Amino acid sequence: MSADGSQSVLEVSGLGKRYPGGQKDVLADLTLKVEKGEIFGLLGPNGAGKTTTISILSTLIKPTRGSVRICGVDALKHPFKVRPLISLIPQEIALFPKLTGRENMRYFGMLFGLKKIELDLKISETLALFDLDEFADQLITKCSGGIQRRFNIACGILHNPALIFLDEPTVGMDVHSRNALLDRVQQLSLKGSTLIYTTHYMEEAEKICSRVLIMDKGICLAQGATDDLISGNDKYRNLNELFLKTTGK
Amino acid sequence: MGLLAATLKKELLLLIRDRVGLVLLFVMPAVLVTIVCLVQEKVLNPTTHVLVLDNDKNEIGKIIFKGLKDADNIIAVKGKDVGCNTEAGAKALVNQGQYQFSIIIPEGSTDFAFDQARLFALGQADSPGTNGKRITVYFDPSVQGGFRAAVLSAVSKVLLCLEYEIKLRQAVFPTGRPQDASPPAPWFDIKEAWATEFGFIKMPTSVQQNVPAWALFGIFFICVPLAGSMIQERENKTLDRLKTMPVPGFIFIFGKIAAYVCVCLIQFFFVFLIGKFIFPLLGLPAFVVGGPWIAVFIIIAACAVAAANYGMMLGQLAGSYEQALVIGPTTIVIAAALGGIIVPVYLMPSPMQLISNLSPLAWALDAFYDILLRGKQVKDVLPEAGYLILFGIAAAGISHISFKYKK
Repeated sequence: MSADGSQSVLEVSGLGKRYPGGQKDVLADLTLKVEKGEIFGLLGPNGAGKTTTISILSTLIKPTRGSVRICGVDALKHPFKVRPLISLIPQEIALFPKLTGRENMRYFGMLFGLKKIELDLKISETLALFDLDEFADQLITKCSGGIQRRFNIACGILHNPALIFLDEPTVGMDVHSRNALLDRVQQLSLKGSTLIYTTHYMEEAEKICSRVLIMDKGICLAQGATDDLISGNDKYRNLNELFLKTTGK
Repeated sequence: MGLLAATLKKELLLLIRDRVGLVLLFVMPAVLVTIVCLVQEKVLNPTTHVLVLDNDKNEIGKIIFKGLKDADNIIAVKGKDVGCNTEAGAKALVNQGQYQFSIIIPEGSTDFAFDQARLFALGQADSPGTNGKRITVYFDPSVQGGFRAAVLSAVSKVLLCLEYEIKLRQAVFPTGRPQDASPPAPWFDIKEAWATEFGFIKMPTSVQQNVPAWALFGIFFICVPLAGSMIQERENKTLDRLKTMPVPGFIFIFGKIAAYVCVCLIQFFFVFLIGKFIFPLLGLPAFVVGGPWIAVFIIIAACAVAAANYGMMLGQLAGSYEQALVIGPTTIVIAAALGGIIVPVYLMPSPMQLISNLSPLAWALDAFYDILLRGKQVKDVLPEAGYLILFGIAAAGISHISFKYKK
């Protein structure tokens, strides 16, 4: 529990990572806390360490040091206990392209432990949430890029995960599709899911993220409520300006 | 169990919807086995068509015809049965390539032989000189010298035996001609055996060689789509997504392997059906599994496990789909060449026969020889099945190590 009584979904402390044979840390002493229902932006240029951070938090790789607790469970010691609580939605369309959207949802739902009736119900709800009903029985390869991205997210939220890692979900999307997707991401947050959101689009982060962390070369450069950071001492015009100043690029 | 079944179903759906993969897995071995069987039929099972023009129409003509008819791989036809009654006609048919050779037995050969034998029995024999009968043999110009010599030698042997037989009978029955001039069964016969370690009861026909051989080749080719699917899953991060699921990794691995093993079994059965039902329509002998089917199933399943694990290893080690697409088929073709798929191992030089022992395809094909040609039983193919499973385990081990330590 945090000081104001809300429950931290994610607590990271002193997280560091150096790959075997590597000369320096790709992640150095990262500490952060994310509360329930937050959309937390993880921002940084290429090579900043965002992917490494998400890989550690989603139990894909082990850190060199530090601790990670998800919903109070030590994610490093008990990855199998944590996995039902999280969902990794990669930037790529991480689906089986020769299966239909519905078949993909059914398979991933089963892997998350959903049984027949509950699974059918969740698939219907999620298809409706993402306006995917008419595309549900099309092969993923036959769907447009925007629809594929929606299915990519839909497959990851069937089990109502407490923590969703959403890695650049709007890459390559047109403005309309992007806005529609962002609306749905916000709806997920309103329904109680917590999201760790990475993106290169600062206006996007500014629009949906309640707090952000800006990092580069594995080091945290700034962290806090988005509005506070923008309107802080230096009075930036927007998040984009803050980002450029902070990262020096 | 439900998750394993779901993974199996997912993999099967992916395979069924991959048309290029299906062509590779089913059409390729079917086409290969058909073409190679048709091409090799003449090489591994040479049949010689012989036209016999029997102008004698008596004992000698009958015996020569019977001798040819009973010989292995010779199809003897009487001239009168194909409307050929003249020497010129027989010569023309050989020249046209319809027959590899024709034998012209002159008129009165039998009477001449008995007359000569009678004179021999009475001690009045003399060399017949230019009055002797001449049996003419016409050869197709494309027939090689060694084969010509063998045919002439065989015909001479038959004639020599007949000559002695008739002489002997005339010596025993000097006053009358025996009713049956057929030679009795020979006292000695020659056993023909191959001076190899293969222990075949009989040599494989082109169909017995090629149906299992190309079916095995097709089975090992599953490494290509399997490696491709693994690389695709790795590149589009589906693998990462699966790794964050609350499901043990072996479910995905076993599900994938089980799907591909099922496909391999169907693939073998498909090639078997082609061998059994399509080949006879093409003038080839039908493929028949003479041995126990359970032994066939064990070998195919073991082979499928080996191939699937090899595919997973390839998918794990290859840096890209393009790499897998080059390495996979190349290694399989090399293993096939060494394993006796393209040229049977028993026809290879000794050093190559030794090297062929390194190929899993050779182990599998040898198991098929056990079943089809050596009259062996289930327990006899278990060692080969064991080697194939061990190969699969070794490949899985390498995949696991690479998976664990690859950055």
